[in-house]
Amino acid sequence: MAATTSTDMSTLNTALDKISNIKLKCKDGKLVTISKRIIRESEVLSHNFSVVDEVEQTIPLPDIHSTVMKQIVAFYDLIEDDSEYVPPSKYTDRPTKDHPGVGFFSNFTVEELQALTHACGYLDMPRLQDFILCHMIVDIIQDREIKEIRERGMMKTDYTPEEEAEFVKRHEAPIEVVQPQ
Amino acid sequence: MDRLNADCLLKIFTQLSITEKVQIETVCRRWYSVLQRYEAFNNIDTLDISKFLLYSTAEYYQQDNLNFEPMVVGLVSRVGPYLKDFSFGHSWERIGQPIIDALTEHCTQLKRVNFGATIMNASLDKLLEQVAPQLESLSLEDTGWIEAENRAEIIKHVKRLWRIKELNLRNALINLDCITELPEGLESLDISAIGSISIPALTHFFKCHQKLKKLTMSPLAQNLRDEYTYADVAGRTEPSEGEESLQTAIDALGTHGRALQSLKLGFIPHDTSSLSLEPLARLGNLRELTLETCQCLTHETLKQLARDVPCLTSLTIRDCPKLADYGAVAGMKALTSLHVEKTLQLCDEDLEAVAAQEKLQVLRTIGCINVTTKGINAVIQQCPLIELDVSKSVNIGDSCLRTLVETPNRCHLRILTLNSCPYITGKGIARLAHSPKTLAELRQLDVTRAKYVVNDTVLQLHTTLTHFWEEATPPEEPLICYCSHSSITPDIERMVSKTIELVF
Repeated sequence: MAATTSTDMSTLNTALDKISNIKLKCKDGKLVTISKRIIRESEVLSHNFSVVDEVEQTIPLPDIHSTVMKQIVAFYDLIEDDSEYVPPSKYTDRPTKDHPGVGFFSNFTVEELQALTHACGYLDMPRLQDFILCHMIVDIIQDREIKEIRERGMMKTDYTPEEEAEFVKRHEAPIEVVQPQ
Repeated sequence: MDRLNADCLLKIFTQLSITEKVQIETVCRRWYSVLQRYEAFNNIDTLDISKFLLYSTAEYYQQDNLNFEPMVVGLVSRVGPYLKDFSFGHSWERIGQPIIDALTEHCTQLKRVNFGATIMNASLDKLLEQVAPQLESLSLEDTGWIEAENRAEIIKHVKRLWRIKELNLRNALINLDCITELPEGLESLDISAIGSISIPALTHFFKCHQKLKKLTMSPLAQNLRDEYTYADVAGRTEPSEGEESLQTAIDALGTHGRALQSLKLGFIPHDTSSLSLEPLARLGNLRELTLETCQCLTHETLKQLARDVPCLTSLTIRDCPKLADYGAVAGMKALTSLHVEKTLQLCDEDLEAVAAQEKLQVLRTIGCINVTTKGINAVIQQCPLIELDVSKSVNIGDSCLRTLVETPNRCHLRILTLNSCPYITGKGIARLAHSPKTLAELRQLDVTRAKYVVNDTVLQLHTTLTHFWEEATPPEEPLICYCSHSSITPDIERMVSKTIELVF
C-alpha cells in the first residue's frame, strides 16, 4: 500500500529534497529527528509535511510520546527494504524469524508493543503495524494454551467460571478434533 | 492486549489457522465476538476436511464417527460464507444429511466441490439447487450412495451446471445422456464406468463440446461394453450400415476433438473388426494418451498416431493384447513419458529406438517379460530419466544399477521402482552407494518382494548418505524405501531413520 499516489509521491520527494533535517515535536515537547523514508511511509506525516515550520524544520506531533517515536525510528534504521509495501493476506505470508525486527522487538513488553501499534495506526504506517501485529503479537498467541495466552497477553477473562466450563464443553468436540495432521 | 481495537485483532487473527481461531474463542468475550464476524475467516477460501481428521482416516472410514459431524458443521458454519473450494479429501468418510445441510446454509459462493471417494448418506438436491449454476468444478468420483434415489437426483442438476469446466462422474451408475446439455466451455470430463450412455448422446456431446481438453472413459460405460458382448453371445450379426455403433462415437471424437490434449480410453471389448481406433490419429493436439485393455488397438493405429499426432508427450498402453508390435513408439518424436504394462510384445529393440531420441524422462515397463537389462541400459545411458519403473520384470538384473551408477551425469533419477524383480539383489542395490550423488538425488526406492535385498544393503546406503549430507544441505524428507516382503527387517528402522524411511 503506497502512502500516497505516484504524482503526490513525486511532489513530496521534491519537497523533501529541499529540507535536510526533519524533526518531530512530540507530546512531551521533545524533538525527534526522523529520516525522509519515515515520512514517505506514513500517510499522516506525508500530509502534515505541508505544515512544516520552515525555520525550525519541525512537524508538530502532539499525540505521540517521544519514546515511542524513537522506537519507530530505530526500527526503520534496521530495515533496508525500500520497496513498496504489500500487506500480508494469508498466515503463510508472515515475516521470517531471521527478520532484523524480530530481535529488536523481542524484549518489548506487550504494553510497549500495544503503544507502538496505536502510534502506527495513528500515523498510518502499515509496514510497522503489520510487523508488530502479524509477527510479534501472533507469536504470543500461536501454539499456546488459552491460559498462557492470557498470561503473556496480560489479559483477564471476563467469562464466569460456569460460562467458561460450558463454553469449553460446547466446543470440546470440534476443538479436540480440529487438529490439522 | 485488551486495548487493541477490532481491526488490529482481525489482522492478528488472519495470521492464524482455522484451528487456532476456534481455540482462542475461549480467551475472552471480545475475542469471541470479533471471531464471530465473517471477516475473521475471510482469507480462507479453501477447505479440505481430510486435513482436520484426528489420527488417521481409518477412524472415519465408511462409518459414522461421533466427532465427525459436529467438527465439519462447526468448520463450515465459520468459514462457509467465503468458501470457494470445498473437498472431503478422498478419505471415504460417511457424509450425513446435517453436513450437506450446513454446506447449503453457509456456503453460497462455492465454485469447486469435491465429494469424491465418500459414502454419501444424504441428498444433494438442495445444495445443488443452490450452487449448480455457479460451479466450475464438480467431482463425484467413485462416490458411494446409500440411497439410489439420491444418486438419481444428480441427473437433473447436471443440466444446470452452466459454468462447469471440470466434471468428474466416475463410477456414477446412472444414465448420463444428459451430458449433451453441459455448457460448450467444458474442458474436462470423466465418465468412466458410468451406468449407461447412448451412442447418439455421446456423438452429439462430442459435436457440441469442441473445447474439451481432457476426456476419460476408462472403463467404458457399462451399456457400451455390454453391447458388444451381447451381440456375440446372442449370435447377432454386426450392426448394419447406418446403425449407430461405438464406431460412430469414436469417429465423432476424432472429427470434433481438435482441442483435446488428454485422452484416456479403456476396457473396450470390441475387436479389430468391429471397432477401429484410427480416428484418434486426427486428434492433432493430443499430448497425453492412455489406452488400457483395448482389444482393438493395433500396430497400424499406433503408427498413424506416431505420424499424425506430433506433440504426443505421454503414452500409456496397458494390457492391449492385440498390439503385436511396439516399433511405432520410436516414431513419436516428442515422447517424454512411456508406460507399457503387461505385454509380451515390447522388446529391447523398441526401447533402444526410443532411447536414441534422448528425450525420455519417465519409463515404466511393468510386467513386460521380453524387456531385458539390455533395453533398460540403453535408456539409462541416453535419456535424462527422472523415473524408472521395471516392476514384475523377470529379465532385469543388477547390471541396470551398475549402468546407472556409471553414467551419473545423464540420469537424475528421483523414483526407482524395482518391485517384484527376482534378479535384483542386495549387491546390485548396494552399488548405488558407489555414486553418492546418484543416491542422494533418489527420493523413492521400491524393492518390494526383493528377497535378496537385506539389512546390510540398507546400512550401506545409510552410511553413504550420512557422509554425503555432512557436506551438502540434506533434503527435508529422507529417502523413502518400500521394502515389504523383502529380507529387510524392522530392527534397523531406527538406525537409518535420519536418511532412509523404511515402509514395510
